[in-house]
Amino acid sequence: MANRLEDFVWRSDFFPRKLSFTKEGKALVAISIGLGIAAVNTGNNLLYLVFGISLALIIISGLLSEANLRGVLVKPVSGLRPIAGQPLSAVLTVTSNRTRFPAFSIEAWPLVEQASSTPGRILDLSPGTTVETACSLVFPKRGLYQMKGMVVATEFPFSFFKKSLIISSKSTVLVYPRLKKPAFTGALVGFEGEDESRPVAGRGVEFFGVRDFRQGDNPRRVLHRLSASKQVPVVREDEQLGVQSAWVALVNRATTKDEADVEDAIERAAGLAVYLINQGRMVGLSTMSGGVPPGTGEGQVTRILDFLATVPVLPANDKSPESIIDSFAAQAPGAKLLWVRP
Amino acid sequence: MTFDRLHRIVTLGVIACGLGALHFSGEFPIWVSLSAFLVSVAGVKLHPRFKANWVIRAAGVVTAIAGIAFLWLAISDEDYLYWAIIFAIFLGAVKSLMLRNDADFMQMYALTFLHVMAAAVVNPGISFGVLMFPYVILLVLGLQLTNLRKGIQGQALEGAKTGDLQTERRLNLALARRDLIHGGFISVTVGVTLSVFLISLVFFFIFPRLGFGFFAQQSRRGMAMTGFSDQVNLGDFGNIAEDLQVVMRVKSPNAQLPLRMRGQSLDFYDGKSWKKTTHRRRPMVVDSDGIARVGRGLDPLEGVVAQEIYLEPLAGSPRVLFGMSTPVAYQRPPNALEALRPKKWRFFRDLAGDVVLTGPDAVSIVYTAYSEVSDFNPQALRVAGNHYDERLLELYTELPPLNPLVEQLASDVVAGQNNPYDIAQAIVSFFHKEFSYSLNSSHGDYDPLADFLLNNREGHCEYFASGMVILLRQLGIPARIVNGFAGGIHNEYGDYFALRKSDAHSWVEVYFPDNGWVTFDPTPPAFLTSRASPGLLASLMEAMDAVQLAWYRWVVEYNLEKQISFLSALFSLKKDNENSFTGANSLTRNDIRQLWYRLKALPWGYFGLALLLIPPLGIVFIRLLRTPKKKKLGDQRDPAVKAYNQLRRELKSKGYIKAPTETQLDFAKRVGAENPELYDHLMTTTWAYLEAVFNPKA
Repeated sequence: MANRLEDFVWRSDFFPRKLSFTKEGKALVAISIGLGIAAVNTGNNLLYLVFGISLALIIISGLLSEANLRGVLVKPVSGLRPIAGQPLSAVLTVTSNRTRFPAFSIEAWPLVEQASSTPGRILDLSPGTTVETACSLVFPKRGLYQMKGMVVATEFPFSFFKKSLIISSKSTVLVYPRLKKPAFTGALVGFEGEDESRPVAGRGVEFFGVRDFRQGDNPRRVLHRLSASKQVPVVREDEQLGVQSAWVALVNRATTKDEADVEDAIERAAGLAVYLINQGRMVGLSTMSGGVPPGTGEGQVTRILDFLATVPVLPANDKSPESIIDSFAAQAPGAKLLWVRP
Repeated sequence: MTFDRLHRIVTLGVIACGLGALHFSGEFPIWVSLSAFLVSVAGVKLHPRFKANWVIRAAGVVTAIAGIAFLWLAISDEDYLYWAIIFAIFLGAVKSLMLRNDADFMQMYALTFLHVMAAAVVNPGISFGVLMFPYVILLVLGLQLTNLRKGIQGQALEGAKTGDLQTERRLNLALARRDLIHGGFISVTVGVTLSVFLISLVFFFIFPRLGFGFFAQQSRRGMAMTGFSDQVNLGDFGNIAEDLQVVMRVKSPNAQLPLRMRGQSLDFYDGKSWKKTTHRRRPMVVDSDGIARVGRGLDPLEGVVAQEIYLEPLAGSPRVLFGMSTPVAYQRPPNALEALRPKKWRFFRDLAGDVVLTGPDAVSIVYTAYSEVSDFNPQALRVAGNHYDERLLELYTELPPLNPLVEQLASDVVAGQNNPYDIAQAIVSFFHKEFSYSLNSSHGDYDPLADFLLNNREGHCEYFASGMVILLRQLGIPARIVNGFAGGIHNEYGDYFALRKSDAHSWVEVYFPDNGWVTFDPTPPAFLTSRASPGLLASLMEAMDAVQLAWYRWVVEYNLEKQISFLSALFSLKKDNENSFTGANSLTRNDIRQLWYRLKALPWGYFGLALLLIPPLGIVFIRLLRTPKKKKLGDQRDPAVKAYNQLRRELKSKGYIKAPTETQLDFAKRVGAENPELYDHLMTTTWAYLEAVFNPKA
């Protein structure tokens, strides 16, 4: 109950400030209570004096931590593409809008649901200055995470309390699945005789064709005249010889109640796709919930991982995955189909 | 100085203050606090040697063994507090060697806080108050530095392996920073320290002194003082004359230096010591004003000298009360709350007329003595005669077997004198002329008084007074020795007379029929000058004593009466009597009743409502504060901007308001379309404004 309440207060927008005791703070409060009881019990005025000092330390701690956060701003981070389970370093820009006093011991980090974070620390922030610090985020699994804003926190001056302020800035963070290294090394089965394959779009120097601009494409490859005439951005594709395209066919349907094996399959599919693309191959992805047409390069990696980040885990049913995936993969005939099953 | 060095030195200062507060209690031998301090000093330099894990484990084992040893000592000594404090000092010393990270520093500060708490119990002296200032300043600074150290460690050790050499190096480099302590940090620290002092004092004064503590009184260790018990060995009382500790403070408009405050008389001399055989005491009747009269008459108290006396706690009970000769009445400050206390103050008077007070032990006493101070007419004393009461003669003329030469001396000294007054004066003159005052004389153990009178004619006041009493009694005149204080200094800072231990004095009272006891002082007046302190030192000591008195009155002895007195002053019920030793100006039941009515009449319902409204109003206020103000565009002093703002105000008065989605030009066009005659003016002013705002350099 207490944890739920604490969590509610922490997540709620109604409370702009969050205050939590540190270990030292809890000890001081316990000592103060003991001192108060001793003073009242004995009537010893010097104990009252020491009690007054301990209360003063608590009050000043609360007031000064509030003052320490005033005028401190953190710019929200954007464009994060973290991988589940791997720490992601994000650079934060912290600015002091104050005119007079410096701020000390500032910590900052993005507040993202379920993600664990190591804050970026700034020891001394002079008035009117902007500094950069790096924080670290770890997301437990792939998916779309809600970022509520940026947290600025301090334990200054005495480390008795941690006061935090959330600068609201709502956005989402797409977390990629882990990239599991494929078990094989060397040439893939079914890729023998690559040289005899027909030309496809990819890395090369010869003109292959044009197509509509897709997310992840290099904007330098946009053909502006043609785009102007067609009223949509169009990019040029080069011909890549000797490259056989491959379809990573992911069965995202659970075989048992446990979804972990599907998640494992997604991670293997992600690792395989990235491995193949890094080898310079044209790779497409097909799943029971859609797919990504074949492509090459960094853009294709982004497209596949974006897709895999949110691909759903389907419940177990009688439908054959092969028919669905095959029909999708039929869009690019001749491509090799690499099955990834739970 | 590097951050690390500064932090360690500040921590050492905090430790020193805590140890000092304990040491100056006088409860512990000097080696305890000194050795702990030296270990802490060594820790500043030697801390890298105590980083190894095996050293820390060994320290844990040693501490556990020490804990058992101290427990055993406490059980065998039955002084648990004493050994618990020594164990806390030991823990602090061990910890001071092992200050590695922020948690260690925090634990060190917690231990020093424990030392201060212990000192609050065992050291009520001014030394505690004096040390609290540097302690709070250094503690605030130390806690802030610990907070920064936590940040430094967090930065340096982020994701690093513990114990890794590289990490260690990185941390050491980070701790060697010199740029963290700058003007901004110091100004924040000063502000924080002042705030801590202020809030501590506010809490100290307003925290209600109710609860169990109310029934007790603020006790302090009683000052050891011979001379005021029922038996005093000859020579003991005079030997305390070199101690400058203040014993009592006197306020009286009629007092003059040298001040003579009479304590108690002793009547029986056995050749080596003085005894009080009249120690059977009876409780005195206290009237409605709290006045206890020594004798009959003097009602009302007119023509008497009132002296308000602050008497330091003296060891032993009951407590002898002092007053100028001849005390006729005593009074404790009337206080309605006094009646609630279980241990009440009660006056007792013995057969010799000396008054004592019983009550709580080891506490200071504030009372008023009323004395009849009259210059006796020598002529009246000469003719007073020698018809003494038999009981009086029995008590005050008794003598031990004397050396025949002493008997001869008495006859020789008073030869030619024919009345008790002249005889007494002749003896006084004899002592003044033939004897000298000395604190270093020795008279042996056999018959010290005979040695003083016949051989070594040097001695302190007790020998003089005893010699005179013996000589008078030898001649059949009732006389007694009186112990008290004579001399003193006027404290300019506190406007009172201070009597120190060194002012302890013995003199003689001689009985004259119809006149009572008259004071004679056979000690040569040189004794007064021998106790004077050098100018600067005396001035310093006076200032110190005034501070000490304020400390005792307003901190150590601050109580519910003084608190209520403050509240009464706040409600203008009465004025707080600053000039009185009690501070609280005679709190009566009526005062408390009046205060209660005033408090009850306050609009508590509104206060409650306000308390309920404060949180929501506070939130609204904070939200309002947080709502960013719309920033005005451009330089507001620019004529174009001024003209445009003026135009907008005029248009607003005519009902033309710019929509948030409209640009300034759209707005001007819209208004211009409705008012073609204004179109040019509107467009010109708007363009000028836009130029001024977005292209000011042009």
